[in-house]
Amino acid sequence: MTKAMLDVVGLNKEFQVKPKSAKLFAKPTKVQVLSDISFELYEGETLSIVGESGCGKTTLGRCLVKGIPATTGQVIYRTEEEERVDFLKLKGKEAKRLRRDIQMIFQDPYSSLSPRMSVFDIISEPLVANFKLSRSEVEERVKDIAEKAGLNASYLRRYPHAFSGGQRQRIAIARALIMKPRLIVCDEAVSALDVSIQAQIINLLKDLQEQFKITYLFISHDLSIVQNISDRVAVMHLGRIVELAPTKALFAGPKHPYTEALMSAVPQPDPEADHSRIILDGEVPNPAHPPSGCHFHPRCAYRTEKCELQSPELREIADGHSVACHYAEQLNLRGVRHD
Amino acid sequence: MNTSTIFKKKVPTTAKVPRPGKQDDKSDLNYSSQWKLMYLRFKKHKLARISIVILGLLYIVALLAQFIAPYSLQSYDSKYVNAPPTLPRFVDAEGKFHLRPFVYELKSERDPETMRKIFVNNEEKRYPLQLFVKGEDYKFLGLFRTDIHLLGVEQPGRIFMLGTDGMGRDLFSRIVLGSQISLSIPLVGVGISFVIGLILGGISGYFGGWIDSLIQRIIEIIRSFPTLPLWMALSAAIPPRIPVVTMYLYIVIIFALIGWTDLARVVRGKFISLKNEDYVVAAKIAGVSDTKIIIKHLLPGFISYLVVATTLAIPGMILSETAMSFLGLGIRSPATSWGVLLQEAQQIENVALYPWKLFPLGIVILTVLTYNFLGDGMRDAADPYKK
Amino acid sequence: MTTQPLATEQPLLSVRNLKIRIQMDNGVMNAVDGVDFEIQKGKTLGLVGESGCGKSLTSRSLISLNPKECETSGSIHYRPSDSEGEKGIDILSLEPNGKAIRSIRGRRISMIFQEPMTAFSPMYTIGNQIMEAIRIHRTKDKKEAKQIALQMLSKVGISDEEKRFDQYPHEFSGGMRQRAMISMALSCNPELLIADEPTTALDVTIQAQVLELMRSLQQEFGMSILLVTHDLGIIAQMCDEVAVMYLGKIVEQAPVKELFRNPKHPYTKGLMRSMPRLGGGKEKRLESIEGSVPMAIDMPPMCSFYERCKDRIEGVCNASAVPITSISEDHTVRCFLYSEPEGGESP
Repeated sequence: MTKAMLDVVGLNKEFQVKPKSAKLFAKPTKVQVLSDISFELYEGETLSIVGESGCGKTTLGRCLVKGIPATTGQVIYRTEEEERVDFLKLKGKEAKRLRRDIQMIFQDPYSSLSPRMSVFDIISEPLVANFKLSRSEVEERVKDIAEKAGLNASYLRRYPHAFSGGQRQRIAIARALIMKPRLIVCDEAVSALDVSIQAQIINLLKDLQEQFKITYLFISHDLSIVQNISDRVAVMHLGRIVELAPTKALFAGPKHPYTEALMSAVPQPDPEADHSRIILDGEVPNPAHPPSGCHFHPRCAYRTEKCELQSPELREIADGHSVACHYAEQLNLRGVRHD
Repeated sequence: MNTSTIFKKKVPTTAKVPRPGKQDDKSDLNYSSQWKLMYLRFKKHKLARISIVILGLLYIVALLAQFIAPYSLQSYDSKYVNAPPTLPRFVDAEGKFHLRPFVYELKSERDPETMRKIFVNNEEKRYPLQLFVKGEDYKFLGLFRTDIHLLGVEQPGRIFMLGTDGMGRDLFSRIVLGSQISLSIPLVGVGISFVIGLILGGISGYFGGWIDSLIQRIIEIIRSFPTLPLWMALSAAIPPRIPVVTMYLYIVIIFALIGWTDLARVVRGKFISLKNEDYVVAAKIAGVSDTKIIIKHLLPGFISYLVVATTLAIPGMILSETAMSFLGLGIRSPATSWGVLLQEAQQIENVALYPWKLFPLGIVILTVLTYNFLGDGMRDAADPYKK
Repeated sequence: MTTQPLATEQPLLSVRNLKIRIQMDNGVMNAVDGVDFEIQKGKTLGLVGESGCGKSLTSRSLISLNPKECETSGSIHYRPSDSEGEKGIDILSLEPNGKAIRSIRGRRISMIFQEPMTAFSPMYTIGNQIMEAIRIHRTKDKKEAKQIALQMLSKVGISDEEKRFDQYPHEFSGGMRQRAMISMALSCNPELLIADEPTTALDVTIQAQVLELMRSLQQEFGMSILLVTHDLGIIAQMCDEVAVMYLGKIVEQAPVKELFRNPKHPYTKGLMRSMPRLGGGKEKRLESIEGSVPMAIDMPPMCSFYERCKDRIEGVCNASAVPITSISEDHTVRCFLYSEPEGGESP
C-alpha cells in the first residue's frame, strides 16, 4: 500500500461548555468531543468518516485543517519533499506554505461562499493571498480550474446568488483546487444537494481525484454515499473511532455492532428487499454525559457487564481492519449484500 | 461522461435571485454585487424613498438656514410679542385678487372684554412678499457676508409665517436656524459613537475572552445609568458661560459616550456570528491573513447592518437633544435648537393661548418619523439574500 | 365526477387538477401545475421529488395551510368515513381558517413536519400542547384529555410518560420531539396523516425508529398516510403507491413495486440510477442527471424535464404539453415516449 500522508496520533478535542448553574464562578464543564483519535491517511485514497450527529466527525475535519485548534495530539504530515512535520505545530512561513496542501469543502454551499464576492474573486482569493501573480496569470489559472470543476468560464463575473446548490458546490471545489492541494477534507460535501445533483458532484470528485491524485477525507453521515466514494471507512461514535476498515471488508462484514446497526438502518430503494432491520433502542447519547465503558453499550444488543465497565481499545483484528469492541471476534454481524 | 461539457450548454436557471426588480434586469442581477441588490430592494420601499426626499429637504434648509430665515437669532421686537402666524395671502379684504402674495401690517390691540393683547390686521397697509430681500447681514455658508434673504417683506413690515414667541422673535426663523443644531448634533454624535462602537465592539467580538467580558461589563454599567440624572450630572460639569460652539461640542460628546454601547453590541454580535461562517473559515484555510479576513470578509458582512443600526440610532439622538434642551440642560438662548423652542411650550397657558408654539414639535416628529422609515427601508434592503 | 368509474371503494381523498400559482417579482411561478392523485383508505401514498418540485406545497394545500400568496385552484375532495353524501367535502371551497376547515385540520387530517422543534411552542410543556389538541377536538374534560395524551405518549414509545408530559420541547431530543409530534398528530384519531419529510432532520438510527413507529401506528389506527420525501429508500420501505413529482407536475405514478421494478419516465429512471445505494462500490460510477432543476417561471407548454432528458425528442417534447399516458391499469406516466405519437413518429 502507499505511504501514509497524514498520521493522526492521539488527537483530543475538548469543548468548554458554560454550566447551567447560576453560580457566578462555576467552572465550565468539559465535553470530550474527540478522544484519542488515531489513524493514518494514505496518499491518493479516500478515507470516509461516518457517524451520526454529535459524533465529532465535523470537529475532526476542522481540527485537521486547523479551522479550530485541537486540545492535544499530533497530526504528522509527510510533505512532498518527504519531510515529516507536525502539521498542528507549524508556525509562520512554513505553516502558510503547507497549509495550501490541505483544503476543505463545506456542507452548505450557501454559507461557504461569501455573497459579497464574485465567483472569480472567490476562486482566486487563495491564489492572491499566497502568491504574487500577475492579473493575467491569475485569470488563466482561475479559468483553467473553473473548467475542471465544470463551471462555464463566462459565469465567473457573476455573484454566488446566481447559482444553484450544485453549481455553488462546484465553485467551492474550484476554490479548494486552485491551491493544488494534496488533501481535501470534504465535510458533508454532498449532503445538502438534491439526489440528481449529488451524483454529479460525487462523480466530479472522483474524476478530480484520478486527474490530480488528490487524497480525500470524506466526512458524511450517509453510508450509501460513503460506500460509493471511499477506499476505507472509519466509523465514529461519540468522539471515538469504533471501526476502521477497507470499504469492501467493512460493508461485507462489519465487526462492530454499531456499524451493523447503521448499515441496517439505511432505507434501501427496493420495496422487495428484506425489511427486517436492527432498530436501536433509545437515543444517541449526549457527548456531555457519555455512558461508562463502551459508549455504545446502552444501545447495544450484545452487551455484557464487561461493556459497561471497560472501554474497549481500537485493535486490529484482520489486515487493515480495526475494531473497538470486546467481542469483535465472537460476534457474527450482518453486512450488506454486494451486487 | 464528461460533466464539464454538459454543464456548459446549460444556463443556470435555478438561480435564487433575491426579489429581482423586473424581468428585463433578471439576467443582469446575476452580475449584481450586494450593494446593487440592496439598492434594488431599497428602491421598492416607498416610504423610505419619500423619507429620503424629506430628509434631503430638511438638511438643505439647515445648510442654508441663514439665507432662508427672514430674521436672525438676535432680532426681536417687543411690539410683536406672541403674534399669531400671518400667512401670505392672495386675496385682500375687498376680495380683490393679487398676483403677488402679500401680508398686512399687524396692529396690536386690547381685547375689550378680556383686556388681553391681540393682533389684528391693518388692512390699509399691504406689504407684498418679496424674494431676495435685503435684511440683516450674515455669512453665507460661512464663506462671505451678504444681507440677501430668500423671503421677506419691505421694512418696516414684518412677516411671521409661524408666529412669534414671548420675546417677539420670529418662530419660523428660529425653527429654521435651530435645525442646524438639532439636525447636526445627532449626526456628529452618532458618528463618534459609531467609531467607538466599531472599535470596542470589534475588539470585544474578535478577541473574546477577558477583554470581551471587560468591555461587556462596561457597556452594562453605562446602560444601567438612568439617562436623565446622567445628563444632569454631565451638563452640570459643563461651565455655564461658554461659547455656543464649545457647548455644542460638549453635548455631542455626552451623547456619544452614552450612545456607543448599542452599536458596540451590534458589532460584537456580528463579529462573533460571522467569525464562524463557513466562508470565513474557508478563507482562513486558504491562507488569507487575519487583517485581510477582517477587511474583506467580516466588515463587508455587517457594514450594511451597521449603517442601518446607525440610521435607527439617529432619531433617538434627536429626541435626546430635544429632551435635554427642553429641560434647559443643553443649548441655551439666544442660540437655539428645537428643544430650546419647545422649552417655551412648557407652560400650559402658552400652549393654550399660543398653540403655534408647538410647531417645532411637529418638525421633530416629522424628522424622527422619516429617519425611522429610512432605517426601515435600509433594514429591509440590508440583507438582499434573505427571502 | 360522473365520468370517473366508481371504484370498489371510494378513495379517502382525491385531488383533481390542483394548481398553485405564486406571483413572483419576475413572473408567475406555477409551483404546482395540474396535480391529480387519490389516497385510499388505510394506504400510504408517497410523494417524491427534489427540492422545489412542489411536493410540500401540494401536501399543505390539503389542509389549506399554504400562505396567502399561493393562488390555489382545482379540487380536493375529502370523503370522511362517516361520509356526508357521496361527494364529501371540497377542501378548497372551504374558507381558509374558517370553522369548517379547522374542524378537519388536526381532527381528521393532521400533519407532522420536518423540524419538530418549530412545531411546538417553546413556552408550553409537551403535555399541555398535546392536551390542547385533544381538548379542541375530542373532549372538553381536562382529566380525560390528560389520560388520552399520556396514552398517546406511551404509544409512540416515550417511556416515563408522566414525567415527559411536564417537560418542555427543548428538553426533548430530536427523535423524541418527532415522536411527541406524531403522538399529537394522532391524538384525535385522524383518518389521514400528512408527513412532510418526517425524518430528514434525524439520524439514520433514529429515522429507522420513527419510520417503524409510523408503520406500526398505521396498522393500529388504520389511517392513511401521505408521505412527502426526497428519499427513494424511505418510499420503498413505507409506501403502497408512489407519485413522482418534477417541477410541479406528477410525472409518474404507480404502485411501489411496479414503480421500482418498471420505472418508465426518464426522470424516475435517472433518480433511481443516480441514487447511491448500499452494495455499490467506488469503482462503480453513479449515473447522474445532467444540469439542474430550472425555475418554473413562465414555462411554455412543453415537457419540463426536456432540457435534462437523455431521451428527448426534439420537436415533440418541446412542442406541446405532455399528456398522461397509462402504461397499465394503475401505472401512469407523463412522457411522449409512451404516448401514441401524433404524427406517426416513433422514438
